[in-house]
Amino acid sequence: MHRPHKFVPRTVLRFCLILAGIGIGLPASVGQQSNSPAEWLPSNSVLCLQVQNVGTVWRELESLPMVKELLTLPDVQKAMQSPQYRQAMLGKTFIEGVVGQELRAFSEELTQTPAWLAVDVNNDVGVVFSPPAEAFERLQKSFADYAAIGNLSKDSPPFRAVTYKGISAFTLDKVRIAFHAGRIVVCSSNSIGKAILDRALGEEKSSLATTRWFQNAQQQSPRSNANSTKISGAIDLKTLRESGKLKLPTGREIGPELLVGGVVDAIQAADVLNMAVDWNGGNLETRLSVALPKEIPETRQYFFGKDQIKASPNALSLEDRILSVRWHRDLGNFWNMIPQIITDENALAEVAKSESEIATLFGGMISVGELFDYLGPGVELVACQPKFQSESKEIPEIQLPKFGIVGTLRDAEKADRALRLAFQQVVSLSNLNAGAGKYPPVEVTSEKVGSVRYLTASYLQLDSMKMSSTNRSDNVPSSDLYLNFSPTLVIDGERFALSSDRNFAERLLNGKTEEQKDVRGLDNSVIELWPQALVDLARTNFEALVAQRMLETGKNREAVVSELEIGLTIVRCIEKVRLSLTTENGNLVFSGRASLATK
Amino acid sequence: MSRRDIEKLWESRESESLTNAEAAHLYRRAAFGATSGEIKAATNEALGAVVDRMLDDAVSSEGAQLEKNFQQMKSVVIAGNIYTQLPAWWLYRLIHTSRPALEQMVLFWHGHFATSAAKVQSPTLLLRQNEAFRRHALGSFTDLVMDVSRDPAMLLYLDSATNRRNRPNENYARELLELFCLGVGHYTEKDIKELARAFTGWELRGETFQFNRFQHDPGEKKLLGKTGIESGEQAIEVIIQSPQTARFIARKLVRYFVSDGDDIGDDLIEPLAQSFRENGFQLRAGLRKLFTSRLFYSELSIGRKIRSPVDMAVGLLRTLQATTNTISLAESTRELGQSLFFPPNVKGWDGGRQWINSATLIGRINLVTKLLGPETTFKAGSSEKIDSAFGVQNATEAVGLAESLLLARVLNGKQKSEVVQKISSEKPERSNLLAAIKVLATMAEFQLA
Repeated sequence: MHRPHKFVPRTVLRFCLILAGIGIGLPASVGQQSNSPAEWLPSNSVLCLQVQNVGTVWRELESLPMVKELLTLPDVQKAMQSPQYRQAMLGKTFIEGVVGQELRAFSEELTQTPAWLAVDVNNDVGVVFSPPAEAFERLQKSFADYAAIGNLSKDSPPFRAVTYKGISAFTLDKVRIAFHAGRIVVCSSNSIGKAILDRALGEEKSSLATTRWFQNAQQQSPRSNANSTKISGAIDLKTLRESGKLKLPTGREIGPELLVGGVVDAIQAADVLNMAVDWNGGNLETRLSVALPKEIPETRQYFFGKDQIKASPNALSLEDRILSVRWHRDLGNFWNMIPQIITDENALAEVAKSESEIATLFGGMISVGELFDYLGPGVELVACQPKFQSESKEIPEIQLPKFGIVGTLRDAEKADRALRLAFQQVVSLSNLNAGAGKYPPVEVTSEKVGSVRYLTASYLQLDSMKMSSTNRSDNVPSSDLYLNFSPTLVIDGERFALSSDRNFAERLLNGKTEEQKDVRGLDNSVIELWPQALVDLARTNFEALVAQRMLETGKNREAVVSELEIGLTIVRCIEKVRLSLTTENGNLVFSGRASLATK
Repeated sequence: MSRRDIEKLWESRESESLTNAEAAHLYRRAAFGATSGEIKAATNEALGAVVDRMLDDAVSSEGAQLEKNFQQMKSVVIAGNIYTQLPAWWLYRLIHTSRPALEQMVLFWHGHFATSAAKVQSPTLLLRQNEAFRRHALGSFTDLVMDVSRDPAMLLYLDSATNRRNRPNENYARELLELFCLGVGHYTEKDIKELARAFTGWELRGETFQFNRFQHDPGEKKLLGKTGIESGEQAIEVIIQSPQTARFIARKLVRYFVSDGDDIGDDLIEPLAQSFRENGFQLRAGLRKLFTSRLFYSELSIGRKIRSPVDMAVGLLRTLQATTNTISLAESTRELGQSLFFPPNVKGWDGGRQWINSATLIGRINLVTKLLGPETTFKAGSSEKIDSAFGVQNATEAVGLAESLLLARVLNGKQKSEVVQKISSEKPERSNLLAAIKVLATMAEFQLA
């Protein structure tokens, strides 16, 4: 038997015991119980999770080339020589001693059979596992041996063997571990432990499995794939709401309202939230779903549409994308509904103030509500890598991404005039600030190519402002950040784009939309991020990043460069991140997916 | 004070060696503090050689690499056009520079020719001015005044950019006489008007100085009793040659480096002023005279200054060979009344007792605690390794070392034992030295330079 080493930390020991308690799993069919662990878990559970096959994630992550590259970085290698790392390795060795096999293989085997986890209304946690008989017996014996020692280390609380109604169990501080009928129960308190074991003994008939919310959750559960779903579960929203444990802020600010107002409303109305975490070939996806109300209230029609079938526009297919955000929000409808949606008086006062300021800016010729009325509900915000001609003399020191929004217009003729007016007014205001010498003034040029009208604001740089570092003795150049911008409004009939520069506006207007792949429902809102493009942008502006980090940390250049290299290598491991809010079979589904780079 | 006493105070000690305490005093005042190693090295050679090295223009290869880094960071601050990052940039430079005495003088001139980013708002112009201070900090005061008078940031700050022939703007002329060169009572209102006429046509074109002869008043001006003056350059020469200018600058330097007290009279200042007059207002020679004088190590100087927030923070970090988040540090020094590039007005920071009030005193203690916390990186590595890196084995040694490096006046035996007891009785810190500094920071002695 392995005696615990005197300097193995207490937390490691406790983790080890829980992990060992989880057991060496084999398929559930090998277990001695035919009923579901849900019949063991208490009926006052408000959250339940099933965890399976998570060990494979470890193996697949380790095999990714980017992860291998990360591990070869000098600073990572250095960190692996640190005392903290060595202590962690010591803990790992100890656990391997207890479980009798290498930790990765153990974790892989451990979760072959679903483990059930429940949290009750008192925040107590209980977990039920079904390990193979051989592992069950070995672990039970191992625990009994440790209990005979008593204190596992100098500072740890006693590890004791106890029995409950004839069931063999162990205690370590507040943790309880019981072995019964081929299953291992690990829980965070006495009360939940007893509740589970009473049901295991058949003394209590009500259980998680008999609760209405759990049964509803099972029915509403999004599709799950036995191979790829690693974690699935549900939350009893109704009980949490009624007990006051779930409080969602609403009606306070415009920004959050536009972002998640509809989601918050749906959660307020739903009884159950389902969740699933999938891992499949380098793709990690998390899905949370709640049932949508059968009829969308008037105040939320700007968010979902009247009949739940409004979707955000398809993405533009552009090269070198960094970010794409697409949404369906009827801003005109929203603006009209503000008095019903925003209930906080301070927020309403802020809205009135902003409205007044914008009206002043536009000389009273156009209001915010009018502008919003002209905008169609489907809009995409997209950012791409900056591209400057290499032979160009005017390349800014810091290259910012090109970005812009593209959408449609209602009542195109009137909208055209209103948008042009708004654009000109904003430029005029900008020139007033330019007069204070903060940045160069801009001039607006209007150009019509066929049916397309371009309104471009170009910065005017005076010769006296062009001071390169080469023609000044003090080696202090001027800022050239504005070279990133030539703000442009482009309108073509019902389509419009507002962009950070002229060429990009053209790309936005002429870009083709992507075909939707793997469509499950209608995307109400989508955020897509391409981290590798972000890394390329960071490489372009590496000096700026280094300088910023040097100021933030005070460290020297070499240390900062090394830190950044690690950070960028980690980010490069992710090929794409996609967050979406989708309406799917009467459910509102929030999905987050990260695709890891395979090369 | 008798003439003999004054002569004695200005006697040079350049051939003498300094004690540990004197060397620490020199470095604290002139160069944002020193490590134990630097102090030890300074005590092993003649004071003249130590000061010459301190004020030398030579840059080591390490210093050249640092300078390259500072320039790269400066380019980024300018490229981003974020003028609020200027304080952080300079603090980074102060912490890492291989020429701290030069930077101390740049800081002196920044306070003297105060120009605030709150009004100028252009990183480019403010950094050009900062570089101009650095170029002239130890050189000729005449060249410095000439450059400052044409400096775009200064022209913007004091509205000289609109100094027209038919409507001279007197702002810069007034400050040049009152705050930069002569002081109140040494010029007349007529002198201001005449000087403003001499500067007509000194204006900005874009971000650069230009002389606009069409806006310049070519008529003769009479300034400080001198006639035959036509140009701004001639007017500056007349001002610099005024005996009062040398006295004014000498007084300001003595106040900055020697004592905040008002008990230093004109008689005591005069030898330094005279040396400026004799050496063509060369600042390096004047500073050498000051730093090698008996006055600098006398009771008139030791413990007679209150540390500025920047001096306190940068000094602590340099002494401990540490570095920190300079953006956060800039915010802390701003709260304590000293935001670099943002002097409160054209007079600069008053300094002295003005640094301390009930709020800033607590803030200063908190800043020391913060600087010894997780945002700070020590060359020694983690805080557990600091004691061994500084050769400290127990609380008594830690208090002794912290006292010698950071305190202007030694503690008496009772104070010292109380500090040792406090460190020992409280929950042990990972480092006795850091614990000692935290306790010392709460004492009045810590606030003195």
